[in-house]
Amino acid sequence: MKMQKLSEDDIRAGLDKLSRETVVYAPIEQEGRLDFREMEKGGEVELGARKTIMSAKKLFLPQAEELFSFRAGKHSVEIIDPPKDEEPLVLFACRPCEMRALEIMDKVFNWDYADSQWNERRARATIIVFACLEPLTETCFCNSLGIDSSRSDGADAIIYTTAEGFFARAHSEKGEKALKVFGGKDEEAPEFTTRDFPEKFNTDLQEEMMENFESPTWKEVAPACIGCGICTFVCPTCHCFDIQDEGGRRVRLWDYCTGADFTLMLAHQPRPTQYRRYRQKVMHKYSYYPTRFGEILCTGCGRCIDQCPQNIDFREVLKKCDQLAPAETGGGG
Amino acid sequence: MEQLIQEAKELLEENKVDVVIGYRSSPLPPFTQPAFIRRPEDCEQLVFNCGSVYNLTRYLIGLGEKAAVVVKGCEQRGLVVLEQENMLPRDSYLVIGVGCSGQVDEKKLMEGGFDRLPEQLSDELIADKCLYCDQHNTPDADIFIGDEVKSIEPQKERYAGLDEFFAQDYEKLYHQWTEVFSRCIRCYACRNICPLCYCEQCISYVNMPQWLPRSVADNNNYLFHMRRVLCMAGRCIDCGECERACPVDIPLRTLYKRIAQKIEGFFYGYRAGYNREQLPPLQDFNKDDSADFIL
Amino acid sequence: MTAENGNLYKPQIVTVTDVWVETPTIKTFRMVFDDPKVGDNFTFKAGQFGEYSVFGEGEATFCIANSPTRKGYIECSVKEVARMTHGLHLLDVGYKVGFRGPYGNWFPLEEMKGKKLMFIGGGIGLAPLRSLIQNVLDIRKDFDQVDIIYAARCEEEFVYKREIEEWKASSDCGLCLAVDPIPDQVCSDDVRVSFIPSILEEMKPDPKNRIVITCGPPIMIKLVTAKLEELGWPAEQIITTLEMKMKCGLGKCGRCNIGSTYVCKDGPVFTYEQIRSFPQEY
Repeated sequence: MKMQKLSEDDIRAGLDKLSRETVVYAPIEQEGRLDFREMEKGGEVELGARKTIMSAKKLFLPQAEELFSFRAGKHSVEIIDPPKDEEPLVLFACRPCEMRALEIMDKVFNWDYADSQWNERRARATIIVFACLEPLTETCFCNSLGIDSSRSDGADAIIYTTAEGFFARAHSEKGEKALKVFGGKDEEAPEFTTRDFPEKFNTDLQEEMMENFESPTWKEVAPACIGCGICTFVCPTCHCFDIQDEGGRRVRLWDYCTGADFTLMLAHQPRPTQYRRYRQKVMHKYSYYPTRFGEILCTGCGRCIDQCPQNIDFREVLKKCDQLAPAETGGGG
Repeated sequence: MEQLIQEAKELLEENKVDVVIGYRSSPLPPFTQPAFIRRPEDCEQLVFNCGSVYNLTRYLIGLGEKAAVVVKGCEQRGLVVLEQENMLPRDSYLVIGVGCSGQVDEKKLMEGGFDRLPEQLSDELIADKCLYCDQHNTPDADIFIGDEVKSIEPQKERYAGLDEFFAQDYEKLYHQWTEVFSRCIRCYACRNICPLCYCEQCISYVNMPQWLPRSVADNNNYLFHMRRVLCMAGRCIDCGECERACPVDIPLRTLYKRIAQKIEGFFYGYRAGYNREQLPPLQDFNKDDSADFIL
Repeated sequence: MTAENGNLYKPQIVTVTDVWVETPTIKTFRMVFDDPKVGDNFTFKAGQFGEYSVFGEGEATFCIANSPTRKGYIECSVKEVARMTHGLHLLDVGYKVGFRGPYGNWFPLEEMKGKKLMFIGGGIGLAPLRSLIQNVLDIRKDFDQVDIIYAARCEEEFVYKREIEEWKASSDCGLCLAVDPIPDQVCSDDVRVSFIPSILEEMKPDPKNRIVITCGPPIMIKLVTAKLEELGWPAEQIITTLEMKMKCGLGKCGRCNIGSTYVCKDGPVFTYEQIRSFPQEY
């Protein structure tokens, strides 16, 4: 099929133009760390096959977000709406795993109650995805979960990298509008497919894990976990949050279920040991969320594997979860 | 390696411990990962090499089982401090000591595109803390594996560069650190990986009053990190795990070494974890202690 | 209900009109919506909860403790335990509080009609039950026999003491009060010194056409449900309301789940049959 053929110069010139018209977030390296940053703040956009440390999730669910501010006196309270950000934004060169994650999270954020902050950002953003025809790192396993990283149907536009240049195709009006800025010319594009990953995981683990909730294997699944928030924060699908009042504002903050404080109440701590918290993480992603919304809460991006300080490989975790020993009869764990 | 495997096997077979905490191989850098071995036949997995970066003593507090843990020289200092703070009695675990001639800097390993650990650890790959190591062989080990490493000339001084760095203009430093801390994502990996951070309710989570606001906004991160420096004062053993764990490369050791340097200056050359008999400054008082800040 | 402009987390403002000191640590607050339009249109069902907030201290989850048949106000009964509740306890009449809700499911009132009802409450667990008790008593003729068993550590710890007097005097419901058999226990003559399971063992309530609704500390619920099962009660006829740490109250923050059940959406009201099917994480 015909696609918009772009050279690297076309892309860089196009990005330059776009960033003067609107806010553009793209992967930019700073001191060796690649992350989505505002183009306006400087730095060269990475167009190569590299994975960001944090996912693009932070653009739609900010790590710290003001829900509203307030002026509270003794007998009066004034609630002040947060400053409205209506600036359209362009998310450039995120990967299919991150785009897929947004679609997966759309479900929880619209479950009965529509989260307006999330939806507004989704509506305002033009998302241009870079397809992955090869895994970016040896830790990528999107394909092992059945995700085809050569496509991104939910994105506004998709760009393919080849030795001869870039091929771009819009999926939506917003995408068309953005791609027009890049120029280039229409050309017949090759057929793009990903290399099939050798390993396919059994991801149909919902019932197996529920039935074996008390399995002693859970204690062996990730004993090295130190309960920090790294995997949760770099993950494109983790979305659990906390709400706190601080400095005259009510803020929504990223939270992590691997931490002891997540379910800690004064009277009771439902998850007193680390393996129970890790079980929650795995089961939320591979059992509870699919039961509720029909989708696994994971897109196999591998960032958790890349960033875990104790080198826990989530793929190994999944394999162990496929072989849960039955619980000993007569007792809980 | 054989000796390590054999000793671990015996410990488990003879029920001297419930679990052996050591290192096993991993296909991903740094090519090892922590291992919790409970069955004698699994001891085959145990390794020790220049990629065995993890400070495993972190798993001892609250473990609830009798453990034997592979401990490197620097990490043993943490056990001393924990004993001095009455958090971990010496007889509640067994130390499997090793001779360590240096550990790899994982980030440099990945930058270099290595797909396995090098045979010899070059200066380009070695972790910064190892350049001034003075405790290659684990003191006070219950079992010592292999030969002791003969003394290696330190390549730099522990506090090298700190005086110059902190002599810079105050405003400049403040802005520099503000920018560094703006990268912090409050994952608390530095805290969770530290063997000396054992508070059941960390002050960062106490909410009455909320000493440290939890959001990453408004320079709150600066507060958190300054508070952590206070937690580490006189206690940090410079195992370097915090800096290794940090996903955004915050130079935490610069901060903790600086406070350690100051404590050493104030308190008669005190260095945490080197001498079980020397009480930490927070637990001790001497009539001759400097009091010039009072008047 | 949520505030306008679609911000789910923006509360309505309510003003405290009454404060009752129930026990040394528990207060009941009655609140009225500042915006009369909101107040007039506000509806809820017994069993639902809200996210109440003290601006500057935070939000916390409490059941709406009055019945929807008693219009014009909402109430909550709160034990002072930590930051937000401490802030709430400092408030008095005229102070402003935030309210988001109603959230959660509710007691199956329709299915209870025509049946005998037995309420079993422990300590502050009486608060979520009170919403239903008031509702039932307000439409009394729709139900068969109504009994209330209420226990607390000691008489001083009884909540809703004024209402208990009303229930004592009323012919609409039977009332059994009890305090824990702890050393040096002192109480009035009409209060028994006994744990609830012992009272149930004595009473042997017949499950035929009867529903138990119970709420209290986790240990109490465990022991009461165990005793009822022993007495031949089918699990679907035992209803309770659960408490988990909550933040958003509307199914997004991921905090309150027990297995794939979200306490804020699928609950907090559950039958014991449902609870038995949960992973034992509570």
